[in-house]
Amino acid sequence: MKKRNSVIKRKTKRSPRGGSWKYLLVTVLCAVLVMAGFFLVAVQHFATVELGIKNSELRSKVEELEAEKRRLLLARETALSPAELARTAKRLGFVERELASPDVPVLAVATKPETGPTMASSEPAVERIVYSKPVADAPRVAERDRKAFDAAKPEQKPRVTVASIEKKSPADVASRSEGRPRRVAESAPKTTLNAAARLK
Amino acid sequence: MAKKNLNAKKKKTAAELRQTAFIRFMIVIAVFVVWFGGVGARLVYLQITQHEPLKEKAVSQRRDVRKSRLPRGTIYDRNGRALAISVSVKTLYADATAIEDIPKASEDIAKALKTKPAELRKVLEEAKELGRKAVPIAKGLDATEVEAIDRALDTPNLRKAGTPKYEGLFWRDSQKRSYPHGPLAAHVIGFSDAEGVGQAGIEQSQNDVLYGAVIRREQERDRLGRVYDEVVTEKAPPGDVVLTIDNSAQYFAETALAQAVRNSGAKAGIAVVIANKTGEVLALANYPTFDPSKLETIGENNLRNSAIQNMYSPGSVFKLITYSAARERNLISPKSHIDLGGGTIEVGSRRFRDSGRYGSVSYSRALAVSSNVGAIRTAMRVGKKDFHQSILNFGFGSATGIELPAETAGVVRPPERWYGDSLASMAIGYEIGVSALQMATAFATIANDGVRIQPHIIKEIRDHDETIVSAAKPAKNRVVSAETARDVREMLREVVVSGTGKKAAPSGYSAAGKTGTAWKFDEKLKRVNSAKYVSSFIGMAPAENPEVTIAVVIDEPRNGGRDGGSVAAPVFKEIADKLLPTLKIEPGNVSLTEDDSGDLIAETVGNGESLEGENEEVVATDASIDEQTEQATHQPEKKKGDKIAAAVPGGKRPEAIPKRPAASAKTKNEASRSN
Repeated sequence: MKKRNSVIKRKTKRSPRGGSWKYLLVTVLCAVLVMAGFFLVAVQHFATVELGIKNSELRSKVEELEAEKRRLLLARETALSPAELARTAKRLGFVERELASPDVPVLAVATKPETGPTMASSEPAVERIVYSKPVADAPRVAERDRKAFDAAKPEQKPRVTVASIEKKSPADVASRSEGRPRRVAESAPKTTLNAAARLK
Repeated sequence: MAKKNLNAKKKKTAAELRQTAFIRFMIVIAVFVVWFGGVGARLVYLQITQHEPLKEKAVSQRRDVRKSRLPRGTIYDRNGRALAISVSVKTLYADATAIEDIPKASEDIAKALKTKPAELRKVLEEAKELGRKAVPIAKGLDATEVEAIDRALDTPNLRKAGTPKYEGLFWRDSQKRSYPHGPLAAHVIGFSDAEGVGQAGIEQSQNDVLYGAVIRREQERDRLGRVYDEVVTEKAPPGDVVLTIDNSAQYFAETALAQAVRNSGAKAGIAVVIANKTGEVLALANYPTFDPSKLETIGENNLRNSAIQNMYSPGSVFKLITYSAARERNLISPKSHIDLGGGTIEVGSRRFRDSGRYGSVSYSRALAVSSNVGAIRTAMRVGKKDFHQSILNFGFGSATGIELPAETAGVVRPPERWYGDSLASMAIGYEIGVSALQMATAFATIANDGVRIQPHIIKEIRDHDETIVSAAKPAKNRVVSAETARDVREMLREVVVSGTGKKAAPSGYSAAGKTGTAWKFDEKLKRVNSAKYVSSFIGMAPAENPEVTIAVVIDEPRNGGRDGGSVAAPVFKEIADKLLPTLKIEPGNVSLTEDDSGDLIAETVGNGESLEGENEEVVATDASIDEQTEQATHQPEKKKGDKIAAAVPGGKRPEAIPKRPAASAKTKNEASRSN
């Protein structure tokens, strides 16, 4: 009986010491787990921050590249603009094909003294028709206009002819001018020179 | 007993130990309680009482809110060439409060920017006094300039995220609108201001599409200023606008026009190129022009898009409408004859003349020589109401609806407000206000077999990912029959072959068109001024199957020939010579263009003469611009010979014959003096 009680006593004495170790172990385990958790969270946090920084850098890189793409597009468009191409071609020695019509003012200046009241004169064309006198009847007006038209007709020729010649060559201009009446020929050389200079 | 005592002592000792341990434990607990209590109390105080200011402080330390604008949409031509594009640029800012040694900083920054340090120092010192944290120092710098400045301002030992590595300096992104083709199509494209808002042209009319929205970025930064978290309020990027403009055609039109305006000493010029079968505007040029990249070059004299915003009396090119109206009603045919008599006709109180006596000629010839008498007689046969209706059918008197701002509708008065001789005046292109685009559209209608297609300049609007959001669907309506259009084209062909428009004949292609030389309406005189002209040529090519219509208008040519055949027709030729091969248009039948050796036929100019002052040379008025309330006009009736008196239909004269304003009686001398 006594023996049995002593056994029981021993058991009751041992159990708190064994339990405390267990508690300690569990506590340490939990602490380790918590610490590990905190550590993982911290690692994750800093990794997120690092990734965020990288993400931000990449985003700004994309934006920079897009901006660069736009700049390159702009540079390409500037280089390919018709005016720039014309300038470049001129710099390289290319000559524009002469398709344009003759230089109007030069021709007009050359023929001005001879053209009289035509549309090519520097005076307004409407002044060719004189309105200052009262018109008696239609036939008289018609006759006067016919005379005015006939008078103006031969003097329109130099302007038109020279214009058509200039499209071809300076040699043609010179040869055609020779057969003209004197006053027309006087104006022709100026035009010829101008035309030749332009074609050169 | 001793054992008992020993046990009791042991018990007592154990109890004392337990008590001591308990007391110590309680002390520790008390310390913890006090500690946590203090901390807790402090936390409660900070969290509740100091919540807002501390929160703001914390956020401001790590968070940065930046606003930036998405790049404005791009404007392309029909071939995908960018005409207007936004590029990123940077602005250098200084946080004056963060700069300790301002004199040294001013020296360093000025050296990098190649500016004067004294001015910079003054700016920074003032900013520091005021506590300004963002002082712009250099604006609109491109990548190369930014790189150079970063290199120059690099401070090796400074721990700072981003560039430049210099205390208190930072970059901010901004935008710059660039126009790579310079002044090309400037009036079409327009320009936008520093805020990215369109101020003219497509930039203005399509601002809603092109406008780059402002986006907000909330960035969280670490102690070095590196962004580790970012929240961006996403907004849809702006769309792009694709125009119908062809940059080559535009260049040809602009260069030819500029050359002609300079050579003729003219005030201004307009050129419009329309694709007949689609109504697309391939080129729309004005001279003088401006460079949208250089806002300082823009002024009153070059900003206006005259092709659509200005109206003018078209003169003889308007005879197209007269003959089309008559042909549509089977009153004439190209081959049938008309007696032009002595080249003079009196209608109401006005006498109109031709440049010569042509006698009996075909209608084709009458148009070819630009006979006023022929056009007036033809209009008389059409009649007032039908002629007015034809004018409206061709689209005059209302805006074309082109996608550009401030388009004029022109002026077409209702027949009730016409004078006795208004029908005659309008038959030859006076007493009416039209824009160059309206006139070009009328010719394009004839070129397109009588079907008018609404002119448009926007081909499509695209999303940022190039998805087409909307494409042009122009309105179409038949104005005249295909037969009428064909016959009128035949008549117009005669103008280029043997009429007033010989200089318009392109090399290797056939063309048809009409010259026009009109007195210009003078705003100061409130009537037309016979000393100022508007010379024009509008035509189509190739004549057999017209692909394009080209309109050229020269405002106030001063040097040399001033009529449309001399000034504007060569510009038409120059544009057509270069444009037609570029558009891969096959050359047509050019056999008729061989007749280029004859005289240039002079074109009659002016809106007739008044018969009221018989002894004086009279300048006619252009009442189309005058907004006057007049009584009903009357139908002219042919009398003996060439005189046509004003009369109401049915023979009854109105109670009061509408009279022109007093300004019409001014003499030409007066007019010239007024100039």
